[in-house]
Amino acid sequence: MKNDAATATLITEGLAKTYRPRRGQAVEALKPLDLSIEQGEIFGLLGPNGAGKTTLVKLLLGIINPTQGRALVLGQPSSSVQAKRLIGYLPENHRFPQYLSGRQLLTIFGQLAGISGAELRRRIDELLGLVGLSDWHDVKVRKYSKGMLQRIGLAQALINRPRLLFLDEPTDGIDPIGRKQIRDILLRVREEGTTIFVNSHLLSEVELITDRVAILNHGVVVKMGRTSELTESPDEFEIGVSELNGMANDDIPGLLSRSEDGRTLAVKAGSTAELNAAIDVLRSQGILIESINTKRNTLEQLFFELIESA
Amino acid sequence: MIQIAAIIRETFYEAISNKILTVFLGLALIAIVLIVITINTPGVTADIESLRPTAESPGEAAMLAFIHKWEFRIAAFFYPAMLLIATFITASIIPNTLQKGIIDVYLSKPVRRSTLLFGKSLGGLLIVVFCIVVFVLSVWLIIAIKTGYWTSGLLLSMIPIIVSFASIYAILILTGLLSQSSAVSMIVAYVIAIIVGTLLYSRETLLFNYIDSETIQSFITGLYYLMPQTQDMSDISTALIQGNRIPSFWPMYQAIALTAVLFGVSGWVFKRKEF
Ligand SMILES: Nc1ncnc2c1ncn2[C@@H]1O[C@H](COP(=O)(O)OP(=O)(O)OP(=O)(O)O)[C@@H](O)[C@H]1O
Ligand SMILES: [Mg+2]
Repeated sequence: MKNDAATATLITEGLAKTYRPRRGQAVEALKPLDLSIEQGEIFGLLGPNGAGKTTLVKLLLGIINPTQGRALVLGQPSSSVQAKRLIGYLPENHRFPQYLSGRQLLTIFGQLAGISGAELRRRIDELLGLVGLSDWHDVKVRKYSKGMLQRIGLAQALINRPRLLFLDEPTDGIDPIGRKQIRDILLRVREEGTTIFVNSHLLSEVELITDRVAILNHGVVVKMGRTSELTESPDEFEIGVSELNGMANDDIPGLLSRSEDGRTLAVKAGSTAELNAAIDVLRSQGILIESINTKRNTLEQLFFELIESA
Repeated sequence: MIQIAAIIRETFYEAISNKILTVFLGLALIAIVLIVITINTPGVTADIESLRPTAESPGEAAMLAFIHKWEFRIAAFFYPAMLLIATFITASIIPNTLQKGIIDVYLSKPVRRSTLLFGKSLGGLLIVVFCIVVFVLSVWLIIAIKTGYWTSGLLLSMIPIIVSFASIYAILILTGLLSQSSAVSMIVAYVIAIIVGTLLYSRETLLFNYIDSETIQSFITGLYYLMPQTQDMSDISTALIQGNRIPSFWPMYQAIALTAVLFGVSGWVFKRKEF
């Protein structure tokens, strides 16, 4: 293993969890996992329901104890008080005390995080602004909409200016506008150098903001890599054309598929020469080329391939 | 320190929102009004005036006896009631804290689990202490103003009642942690403190009439020393109110030790618990 303990914000070494309920069978929710997350990246952990995503985050926060292995946040055991000074967390299905106003909530959790006085007040005002709840600070959390709850929860997680932020399904049940607001907040938080670890099964969401993703299934990481690389198919191209003038499919070298209106062709080409050969054939038939793009898969396609083949 | 203060403040917010404080203080207010009315009825007022020391009978004993009798009656009725209500209103504190979706947030903060448990427990205890102090102080003031005698018995009698509650509360905390249910922990605490406690208290006059085996008798006696001794504590309160010698301080030490041990066990349970 390379010596990345010094630079990595989070590393896990053989971290695993088996639940042993008093009744019923043991569940191997997370199989031994080695993971390393670098400073400043947005890391997405994807997986179907029950894959073990929440289990991993709870292990990292010491809410549950590992069956084996360990996790370090900036060199400290991740469940230690020292590490938690550097961590922020928004759990899935959170239920903040309904009787608190937004400001009271942030004050109490801010003080629990060890901040107080004028510094805390300033931080709270700043965060209320960031999450767009300045006008709602005195209203009881009971009256907040789902999107507002999620945003106050995010503010709560950010109260101590964490170096590492854990978000468990931050956009679950939120409408598209609310999701965009949350994405924008996360991108701004990342600009300040915060590393973000986000659990989600909303693939298109994750694709939009993550630098790197891991796909977890039945407690095992089945794929991990840069989001852009995972979604790229370097030898497939999409060629937009004017009209095919009745050209047969077989006449086009490397043709994979044709869109319904016949104006987009998916072509396989292992090299630039092959791609140009295909274009030459099209041009020789008088077909006008309108666009050429490398084909991108969505994470969703990749996800289905991986989960279904498992 | 800031952390414990924050947890305690949150417990108070919770108590206010649950209307716990309002209900308790409302009941106390009704009780106080009733006491004021009774003590000011012409009959009672005449009694008090007749007991004032005069040139012929300068002794204060009669007046003090009158005050002690009043304070004793009030305590005999309201102390058990306050223990019942206090158990009822604090039973939900720990189960609420352990709810899914909120305990996760607490545990993600740089707070030791023992600090969190201590803060929540202390918060609940302070709410009860606040209510008891408000009520007892009011009653004491009413009697003192009416009679002109400022005695200390009733004020001191708050100490055993609070210590007594602490040991019941420690049971609530432990059972709350284990069952995560306020109903279950309330029932367990009532059964132990009231039913078991009373049976054990009257073991010699009651139970041992039916139990001949010495082994079982000594087992029951042993149990008596391990359980909250609510009755003995109220005996101490009574002695304090009436200005009598306290029969034994042991129930007091026992309650403090029991509270500490149960709280220690709770801390250990909480530390190992997964959520
Ligand atoms: N306390 C527990 N006791 C026993 N099994 C558990 C416990 N918590 C989770 N599991 C099991 O562990 C597995 C992983 O659960 P986990 O909550 O980590 O999944 P997830 O990826 O977060 O799913 P979701 O997308 O639904 O939130 C599941 O099979 C679940 O049933
Ligand atoms: Mg989950």
